Amino acid sequence: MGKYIIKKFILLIITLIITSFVIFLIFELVPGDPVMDKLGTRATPEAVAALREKWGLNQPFLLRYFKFLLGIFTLDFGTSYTYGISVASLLKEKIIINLCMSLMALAIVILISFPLGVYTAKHTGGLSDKIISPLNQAAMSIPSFVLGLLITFLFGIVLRWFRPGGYVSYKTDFFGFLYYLIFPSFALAIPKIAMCIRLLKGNILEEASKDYSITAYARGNNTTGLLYRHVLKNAVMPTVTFIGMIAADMICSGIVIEQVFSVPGLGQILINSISTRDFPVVEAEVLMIALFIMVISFITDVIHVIIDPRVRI
Amino acid sequence: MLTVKDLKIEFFDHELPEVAVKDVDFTIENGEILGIVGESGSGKSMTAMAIAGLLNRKDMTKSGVIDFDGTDILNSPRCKIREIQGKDIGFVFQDPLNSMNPVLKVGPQVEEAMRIRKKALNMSKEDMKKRALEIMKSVGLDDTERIYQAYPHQISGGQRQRAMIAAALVLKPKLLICDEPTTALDVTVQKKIIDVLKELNQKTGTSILFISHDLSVIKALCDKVVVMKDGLVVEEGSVRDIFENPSKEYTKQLIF
Repeated sequence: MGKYIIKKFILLIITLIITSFVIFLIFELVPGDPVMDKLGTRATPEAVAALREKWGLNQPFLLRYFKFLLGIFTLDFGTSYTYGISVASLLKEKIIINLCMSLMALAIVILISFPLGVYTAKHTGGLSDKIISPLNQAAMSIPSFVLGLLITFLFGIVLRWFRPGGYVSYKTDFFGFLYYLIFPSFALAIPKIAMCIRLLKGNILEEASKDYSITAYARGNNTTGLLYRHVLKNAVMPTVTFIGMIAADMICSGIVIEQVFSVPGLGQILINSISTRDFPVVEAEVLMIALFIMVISFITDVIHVIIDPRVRI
Repeated sequence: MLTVKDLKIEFFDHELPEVAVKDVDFTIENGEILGIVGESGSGKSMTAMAIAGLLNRKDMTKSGVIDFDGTDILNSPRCKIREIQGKDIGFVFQDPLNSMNPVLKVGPQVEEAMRIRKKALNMSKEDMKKRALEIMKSVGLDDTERIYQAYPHQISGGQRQRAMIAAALVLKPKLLICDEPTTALDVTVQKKIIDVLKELNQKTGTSILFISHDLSVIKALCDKVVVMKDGLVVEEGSVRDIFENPSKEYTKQLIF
């Protein structure tokens, strides 16, 4: 077990290095020159050369990549071309916002979809199933940003549970910050909740019709005993994998959702920095997103090993 | 001990109702081994499932009588059948890999019938483990302590099937139903499992309902045979009668 986790962890580091190289290479190849972007077309060759020197762009590619790679492990991503301050200080708060929002949305997905999935599977064909299933279908087909608008309207304007656009920084009031993020998190989570419920319910029903479940019945189990002792452990595994996958989607949908809720997250600065060719910022952001996804999939792998003895190698 | 009379099972999961089993009659006395033989689709597994009280689908009807020691299995409520399942009737399925839960260790699965009735039996964890190891030894498993702690994928097919038999026998049931328990195993293991069942029957007097499509297995093990085809009983009688002078054409075909 410990060995497996260490192996996966080493794999995570290797993936991170490869990803960082790909990211760095892509922004090397992207058309457009940040120096010309900053100085404009009428800049003197001396000024251009000076800025190149300052940003270190005249160093060879591999040397610059190596510096970038070192920067990942020391969390030093250089200086933003546009703002002139260090990328780390520029992105720190925004990354925390997005991270909190995504994690909160994931937590909401897990906390709601697991009990509901189990419940609907247990009462298949019952009244609750007849109510939840169509609701599920609807929730699945509505995009997050539309839900965001609905939530803003309902909870922000009609019920006044929060002030739309009234983002609170975590530095001033941490709980106020979390409270504000609950609403966008729900907008992110609802479609995924619906998908998870459906997946979990399907898997539970499938596992419950397998031979080992019938054997368990033949030993005198009732439905509840069968569900919790036998079926659930087998049935959650695809859902765990799925939750790992939606974590990636959370970050990307989050970029849109934060616009709807006027949360100063990664989205705005990502778009700005791409259009101004502020490569240190873009690279750091993309890398952070990639890292988040990798860590989540690392966690789901570990959960798999814990649940399923067959994965252990 | 077990009387099956006019058993009829019908499915309604397609447009036309489908009769899986019809007019099935037989009895099993204490200590008897009855074999049901027939090709796939002949309704033998359905009959076994019905006797074990495992047919609960809503899109089917069951009629007739299955009387197990005075309990009407077909019409009793689920909670009453649950008391019998695992305690008085043990069930062993065809494929030992699929019929074991892959994420649970073997030991707890062998113990489960006891664990479900922990309060009624008044057994401690140690008692249950002791009993599990004992029954595992009695079905011919060596190295029981290791197998108890192993996951199903870590032991061999023969060991798995022995463990499943142990799990079915853990509460000393009066009737053991085996639904093609040797089909998924190779011939040498098959023979050993048959020996285990035979020995069990001789030592404890447990009745066995043994289902197979393999006549040689039936011949080696059973006292009586029921031959089924297309949901109907073609012929029934003692093993010697059926094998020495089969009266029906279908039985002859099966034998030769």
